[in-house]
Amino acid sequence: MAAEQQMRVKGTGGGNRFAAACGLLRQYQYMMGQGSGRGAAMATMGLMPGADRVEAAHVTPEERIKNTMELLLFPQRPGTLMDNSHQSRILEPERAQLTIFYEGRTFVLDNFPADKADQLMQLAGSFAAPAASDDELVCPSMPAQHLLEDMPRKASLQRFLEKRKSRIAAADPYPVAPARAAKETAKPVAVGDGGAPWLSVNSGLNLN
Amino acid sequence: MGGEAPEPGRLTRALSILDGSGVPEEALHLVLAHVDDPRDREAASLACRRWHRIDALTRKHVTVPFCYAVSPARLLARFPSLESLAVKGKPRAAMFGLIPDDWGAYAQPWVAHLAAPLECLKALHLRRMVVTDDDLDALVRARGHMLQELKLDKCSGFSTDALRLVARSCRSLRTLFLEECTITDNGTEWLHDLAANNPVLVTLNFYLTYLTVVPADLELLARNCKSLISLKISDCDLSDLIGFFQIATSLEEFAGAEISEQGELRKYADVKLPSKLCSFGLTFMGTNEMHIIFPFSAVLKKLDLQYTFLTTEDHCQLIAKCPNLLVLAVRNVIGDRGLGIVADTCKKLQRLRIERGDDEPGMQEEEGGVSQVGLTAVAVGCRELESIAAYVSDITNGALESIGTFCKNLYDFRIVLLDKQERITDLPLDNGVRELLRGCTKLRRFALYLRPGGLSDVGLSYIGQHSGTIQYMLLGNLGETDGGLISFAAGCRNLRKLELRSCCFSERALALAMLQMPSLRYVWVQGYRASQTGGDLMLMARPFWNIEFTPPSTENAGRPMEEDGQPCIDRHAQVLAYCSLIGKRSDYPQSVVPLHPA
Repeated sequence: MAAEQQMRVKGTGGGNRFAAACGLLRQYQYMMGQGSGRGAAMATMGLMPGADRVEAAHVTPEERIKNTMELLLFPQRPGTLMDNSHQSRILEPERAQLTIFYEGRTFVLDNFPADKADQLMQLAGSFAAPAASDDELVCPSMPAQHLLEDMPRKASLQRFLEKRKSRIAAADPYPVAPARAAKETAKPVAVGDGGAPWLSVNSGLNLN
Repeated sequence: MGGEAPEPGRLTRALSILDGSGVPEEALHLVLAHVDDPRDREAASLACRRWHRIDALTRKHVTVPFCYAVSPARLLARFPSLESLAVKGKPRAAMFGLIPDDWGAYAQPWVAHLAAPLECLKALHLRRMVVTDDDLDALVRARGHMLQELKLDKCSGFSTDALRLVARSCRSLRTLFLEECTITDNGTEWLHDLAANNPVLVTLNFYLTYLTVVPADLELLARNCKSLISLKISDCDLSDLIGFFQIATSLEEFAGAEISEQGELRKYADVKLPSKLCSFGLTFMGTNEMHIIFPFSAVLKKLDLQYTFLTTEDHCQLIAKCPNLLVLAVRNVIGDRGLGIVADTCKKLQRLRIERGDDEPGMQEEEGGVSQVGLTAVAVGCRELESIAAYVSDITNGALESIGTFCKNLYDFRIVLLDKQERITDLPLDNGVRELLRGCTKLRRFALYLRPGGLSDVGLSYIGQHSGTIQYMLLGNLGETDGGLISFAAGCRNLRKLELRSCCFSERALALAMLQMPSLRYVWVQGYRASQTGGDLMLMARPFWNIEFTPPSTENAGRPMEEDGQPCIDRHAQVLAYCSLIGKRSDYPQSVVPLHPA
């Protein structure tokens, strides 16, 4: 029943009973009020435009993945508004741009029919290493080493760590331990290192 | 409504409430006045027009999760009787220096349109917004006489002059919160004025503002504000606060100050902290000063050691004396050994934060660094944990599994894998992540920031599949191909806010993935395969959904494509897409291109 579907769609484990009951009330109100036109969906302040619509056809995650994969394989012109009800139309034979990357060269074919593209991919797939089902995305796998090199710090901690560095430098301006890679087990400069911090204040007493 | 939600047949009686022949309006007002939870309120407001109207008139507090989602005027029209308002501005990335200063999030329209007309407003909370002296002036003029709570959280753009105005005009102020704000320091008078004019002050927080403090003003504060329970200040040597602590006998929470000279035992010998103190943090506290805490360590509930100079051994000694800790914040110098002590001692621990210490060779601490060993110990030992945020040097599937098995109360889990250690014990983390998500059913916030190879496409699909009630996620360096992102998105039913960083996905896949998530109302992305124009992002164009694009840096523009024909990952490009009833904002900076509405 639509109301039950609504519940499943919101489906949270151990859900909020009051909120769920309100949802059902609204659904019932809408159904009762449809004839008189009173119950027409309100323009709500809800900032989730799709969330409180009951999904007319309950689409499984697997179907949604498949639909979206097809969209990735047969790109549409950007700027078209997409929603669930339009996705099924994509499956009709259409013409789109086909791009082939091979040995560092790129071939682009405009207005390539979708069914031919499908055949082409199946043909290519039969030569390739065992790939799995139709559902697998045939997409160039991204090289693993590309990523943002930096891992930025929070400003407050950054400031503290800089101050710490200058305190350490002020206490012992001529550190003996060379700068080594982090994974080595060499002891860092013996400052604030537990045990006898007062030694570090009078750097002249350091034996090293 | 008791038990399960009522069956449809039993709703006819409930309907009589809706159509007006049943419960009178005054009664509905009274009933709804007791409904505080925002999700309950949201559900009630959607039941029918009448309930919508009554909710609007009786709603006391609203949080606007993103300032460009709705206009102040519209908020006023719907909720004229608001007593408390919270508005959030810049993306979280601003805390890490990734958002330009002129990005936006100005408080001005909110203050201008709401301060005067909201006649019941007594609490205002702004986070990561630009607030000017003029804004505070306008606020104080309109609401000063009844303002009880002013929280400016990581805001910028104002000076101590505005604080003077607040101090002199808001005699009912109970809470003044300014933590981590960037404030122009034009003098210390504001604190003196606050101390002189605000007898009912309960909470004062100007932690991490780096404002100059005069100890005598704090003593005046202690004398005049008998209700002062919580004080967090900027830097001021602890020895200057001896007088303050003697007067502030009701103080329960203190953080800030600093130890300006390490190892000066005589200087701090006379510091005697108030007897009711149960929440404490002291900047630059070192081995020689930590004994200050010992007299009250047994009753300590909150301890902040993030800005101290304590070693791993110090952490072990100190925490062993704190069996009643509920909240602990440290840097990763605590090490696995320290976490072992936490696990053995702090059985009531609810919130644990392990921040990232210095990575530089020679600067990092000897035993510093936290791994699966410490995490597992904490998971097994601290079953009451509700929130874990940790920067780890190493991790295993087993550790994540342990968290899923033992930390059943967890609602916030964030883990970042540091990049210094070359080889991680046990990657990918697919199975561990799955078990954690399956075990921690109360999870609402989740962050996982790894490295390439850290989580495969399958693992990413597990996150989607087991996302449950998670509303916020930050994902970094996860997945291998676009397929992983699509599978992830297919599973996320309740995800409202998503941040993606340093990921391999194409623009097209991003757009299509966003369309898959029914509850999504905010997404921020940095570090992906951006095009020059963001054209493929238009695939997710739809009503009430704004798309803002920060184009890749110009040095990438001339660079040829990668070998596979895809654009390389650009560090400059960002995408911010969000639900909005306003349409295109009028204050976007030069660096941002509004794609939709154009």
